[in-house]
Amino acid sequence: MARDKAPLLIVDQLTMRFGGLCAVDALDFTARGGEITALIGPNGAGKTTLFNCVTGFYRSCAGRIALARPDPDSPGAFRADWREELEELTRSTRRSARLEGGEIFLLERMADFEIVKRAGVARTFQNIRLFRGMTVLENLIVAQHNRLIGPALDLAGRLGFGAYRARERAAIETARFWLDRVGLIDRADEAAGALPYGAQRRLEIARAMATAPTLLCLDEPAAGLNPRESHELTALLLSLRDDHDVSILIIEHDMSVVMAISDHVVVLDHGVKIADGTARDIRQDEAVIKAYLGVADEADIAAMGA
Amino acid sequence: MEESLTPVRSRSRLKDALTGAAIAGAIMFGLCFPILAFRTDQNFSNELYLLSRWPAVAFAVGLVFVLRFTMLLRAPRAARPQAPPSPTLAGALQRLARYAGGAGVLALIAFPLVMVALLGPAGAQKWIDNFGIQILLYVLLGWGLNIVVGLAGLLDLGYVAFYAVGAYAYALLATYFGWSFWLCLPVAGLLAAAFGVALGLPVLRLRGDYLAIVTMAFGEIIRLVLTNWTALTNGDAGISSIPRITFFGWPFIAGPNGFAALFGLKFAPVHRLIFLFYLILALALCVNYLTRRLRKAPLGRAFEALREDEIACRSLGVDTVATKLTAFALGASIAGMAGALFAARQNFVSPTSFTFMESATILALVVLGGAGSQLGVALAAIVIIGGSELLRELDGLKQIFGPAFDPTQYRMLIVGIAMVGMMNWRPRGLIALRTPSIFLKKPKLVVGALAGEGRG
Repeated sequence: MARDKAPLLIVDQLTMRFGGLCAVDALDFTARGGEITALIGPNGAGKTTLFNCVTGFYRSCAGRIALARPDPDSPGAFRADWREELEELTRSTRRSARLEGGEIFLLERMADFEIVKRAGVARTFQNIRLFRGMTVLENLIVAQHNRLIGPALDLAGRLGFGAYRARERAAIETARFWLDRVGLIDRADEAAGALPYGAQRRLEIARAMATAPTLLCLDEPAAGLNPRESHELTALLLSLRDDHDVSILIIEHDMSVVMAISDHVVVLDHGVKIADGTARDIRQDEAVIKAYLGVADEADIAAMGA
Repeated sequence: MEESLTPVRSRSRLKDALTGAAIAGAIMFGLCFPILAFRTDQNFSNELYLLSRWPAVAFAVGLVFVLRFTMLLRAPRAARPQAPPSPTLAGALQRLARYAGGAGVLALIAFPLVMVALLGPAGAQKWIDNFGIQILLYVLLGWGLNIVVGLAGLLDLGYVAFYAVGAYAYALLATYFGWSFWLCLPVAGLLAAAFGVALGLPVLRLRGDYLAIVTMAFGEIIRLVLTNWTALTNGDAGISSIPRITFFGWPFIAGPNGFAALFGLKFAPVHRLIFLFYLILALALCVNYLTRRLRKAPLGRAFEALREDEIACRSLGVDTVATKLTAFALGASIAGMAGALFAARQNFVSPTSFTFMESATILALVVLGGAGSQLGVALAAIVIIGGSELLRELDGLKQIFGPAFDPTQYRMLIVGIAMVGMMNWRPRGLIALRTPSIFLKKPKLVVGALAGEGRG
């Protein structure tokens, strides 16, 4: 499946400074389509900052974040190498360019909501951000806002009449599908804030998936999960990659999860990339063991070896 | 429960209660000392002399002491766990609410006719105007603000500015250009919506307290402009003799071209008020219907999602800028139309009608009613506005408290006590339950404690 391994997200020389603090320093990496790319590193390494730059929550100080989105209708038509078109797009002032079978975007030129809406990047948060006072189903319906709202002049639709009804039925079906997928279908009408912690984590992933993303960015999805739950999460993420054509960028501290699912691992420390490779490469990388795990942390080394 | 307490514990509780009550009494004394204890008055030769009122101070301090003491004695020392209202009780309330809405509308439709039948055309005027029209105007304003505060979670303390814009829009357009009310009503709404967007743009990045302060300042700016731009607005003197509302062109006058002659009725000034009442009622019902539809449409859900978590909204591709501006514009346009109706009712507008106190009152209706609840806001308007109007009518109390007693002076005190009580017992307002906008199997009400307040 060579076409699947085409670059999806290319980050070039990305720099993000907060005053004197350089959180991300001239970072380069590439995430490929159809893969799970893990970002690991000690606390304060700049992982979440990188996420916020990619999803448009921060405006990066310098560098380029490029994303390709093959058309969902014609997979395979998109070319594997779009570097040339990317250079051309970078020289222009535009934010995106249409290619045969897809579209490429320069995310650093786009607002956060456009990145979700047009480029198809969805994300979850380290500290869960659900609409707590709304029901589980409503959370997934809000996620489909842009598909539901329809054309700008559809005034009847704005009030919930006319063509809106068909769109809403489709949205409910999508919601039903994802709720079923994460095992929350029976709790669809409950308030999201009333769910137990593990279910809230799953709901956040389902909500992100309801936006129909190309790239799913997960910020520590296994934090606070018990071993059984994190095992289920692993299975879910693999299935998202294999069955639903989603590429995943994941920040995770739980090494058993990272090692089990990652096709590709990027290690950050103090805003700089210190290693980049397959999970197997990373496991043996001296710099990683020294910088990230610390020599004393044997439990994690054991987990990596596992 | 009382029996199970050991004597030692109950004695310590008694001691705690006494201490607590003494502290409360001391605080009350500190408050009373500058306010209540001394008063300056003038004697016959216009000299100031100091009047001390120690019995009043003693009464206030004693009252606080006794109340606090009984409160502490009754409640266990450890804070009771805040039990959320039980869903079954809540469900019963909600079922009741479903009928209350319909019954309320019927009662409102019947209200002016019943009043005329009971009190005659002249006697009914006061009730239709002071109670009916005034309460309905506040219901309209409360529902408008409910979109901004209750749904979108944007704390707006300058809402009265849009009310003022609508009122002056009608006053100026009608007096200067002779535009008819029916043309001015939508224009007032649109103009207020434009002001809503104008306010929304600079405050897009602000949330919670910061937003509240800037919107409050905006309200004051509008009021000060209206006060000081005397060439246009006639300043504090206001604009008088605003054309009265007509029945689609037929004025409410005694002559042969009037409304009464048209329908072969005997002329009575109350006709105009009844018409205005039904007009505001119709507008309020439209607003209510549209808001309920909106809640089930993507935009309304985006409002609520914005209240719950703005960052999550952005992560899901919701254009928060457009959503916020729409919320401000919608809320403002309702206030603008209410303003036009207000000007049509009074025939006179001046900046004094649009002080911060008005914004605070409207916000109080939304908060007391339960943010997001249409019925709650309407009930709060009836209780707060109707209640304080009703106090004016309680002349009978003079026979108990003496002829110097003026119940209207206690209006704000009673409203204040009611608010403190509400915030104590029902901090989320009268109707603190959220009905989901969509459901798979069965709608389950969401307790208000889970819903966000727009603090992001």
